[in-house]
Amino acid sequence: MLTIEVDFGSARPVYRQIAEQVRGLIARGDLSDGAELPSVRQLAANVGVNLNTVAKAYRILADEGLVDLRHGSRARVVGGARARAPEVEGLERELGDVISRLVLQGRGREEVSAFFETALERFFER
Amino acid sequence: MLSRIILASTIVTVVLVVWLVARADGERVFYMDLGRPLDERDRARVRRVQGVTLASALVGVAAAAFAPLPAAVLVATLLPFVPIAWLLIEVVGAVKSAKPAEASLRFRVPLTEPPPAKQYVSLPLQIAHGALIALSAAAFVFVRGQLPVLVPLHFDAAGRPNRWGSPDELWALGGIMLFCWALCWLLVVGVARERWALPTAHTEAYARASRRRRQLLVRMIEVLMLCVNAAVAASWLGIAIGSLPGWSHLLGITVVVALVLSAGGAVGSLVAFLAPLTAVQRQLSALGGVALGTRPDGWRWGGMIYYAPDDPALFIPKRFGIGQTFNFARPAAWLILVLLVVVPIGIAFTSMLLSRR
Repeated sequence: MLTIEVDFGSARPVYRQIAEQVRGLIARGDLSDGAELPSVRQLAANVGVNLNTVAKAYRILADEGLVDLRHGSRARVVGGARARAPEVEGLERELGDVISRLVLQGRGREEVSAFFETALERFFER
Repeated sequence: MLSRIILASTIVTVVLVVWLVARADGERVFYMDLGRPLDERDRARVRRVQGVTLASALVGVAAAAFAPLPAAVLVATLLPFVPIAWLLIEVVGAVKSAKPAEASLRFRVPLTEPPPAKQYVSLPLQIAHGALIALSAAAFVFVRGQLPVLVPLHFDAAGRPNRWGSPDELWALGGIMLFCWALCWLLVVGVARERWALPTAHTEAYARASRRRRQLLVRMIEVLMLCVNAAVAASWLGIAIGSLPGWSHLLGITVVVALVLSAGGAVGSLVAFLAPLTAVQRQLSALGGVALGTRPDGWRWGGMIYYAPDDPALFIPKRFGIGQTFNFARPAAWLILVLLVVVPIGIAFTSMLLSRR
């Protein structure tokens, strides 16, 4: 059973959490071409948020070219989905921010590298 | 004699239902997990309810057996409210002292739609339900032409008619049967649409247990509603046939049968389903808790009422006890509650008006 994790106690907005989790499932191949996402209403009811929160998450994924949104039907994963190229610069900035935070915690280069290695293992093992 | 038996049966039935609920078992009291070990106060609550229930039963049965009939009717009408009211008072007291675990702010949500309502219902039970309504209506149509101008429409606690009217008013009972069937489906849809949130650990096991809980709830609702409608059908046809010349002895028997069916449904459902529901509820609590995904600050009145304006879900698993509750911040919750009261009254009133035209 495919699931996404939501944390109301996190500082990250719920719509970003939803978008990140679905993006991760697509990246790992758990959500394949044509897979349908739950309806906005159903996911909003299960997560316990406003419809607009889920709609915003889906729009982010649609803007990245990962899902196809059509009025009256559920969001579908786009076949051979690849994030659009302009997004890569933003990813580099976010990764830089993560590295900064790790360094500020007192980690050295090897420890930061080990951190990413562990994260990669966990991601592809799921 | 029959009247006194009916009076005593009414009292004993209510007492039995209350007695079944009044228990302290392991870590639960009145079938509720209070989030803390049971103490002497909890056991004292159960003893008080049992004491009041037993006393009510003794007084009620004695009154039914020996008191003048009008007094016995009055006692049988009012006395059942005493153990019920006492039970509610003790339940509220127990909930106020509860320390429920906070619903976790971190949980998982499936990306698949939850199983629809039709996956939980029993086709044989639904067919039986529909057939019961159709056959009852057909049987009434068959005898309608032979009924007198006035038939008994309401009975006191002793089973004696105390209101008379046109036979067409009996169509209200058919309307009530349809309403009960619709209510059954409303409750089943409510169970199916309950929030589908899972813990971050033991996710699959929790999902299986959650499906099992929904299955049991739906089955209990179906059995209970079928028994209620069987009681209504018995009343409908019993009154109709009992109003025919030479069949008046059937009226008293009708009241007994209706009482047995409705009480049997209530008691039978509790006996058959409370234990497995309690077991699966315990399993869910152990695997990850209940009421996942609900707003901690949405639970009011010690956790008995859920009011969370920013939560779009309408049907919420109860924090205490078995079953589900509404998110009372949703207008639909109030609409459904109003309809549950207004529709049966409307059916009876409309039937009365139509029969007087």
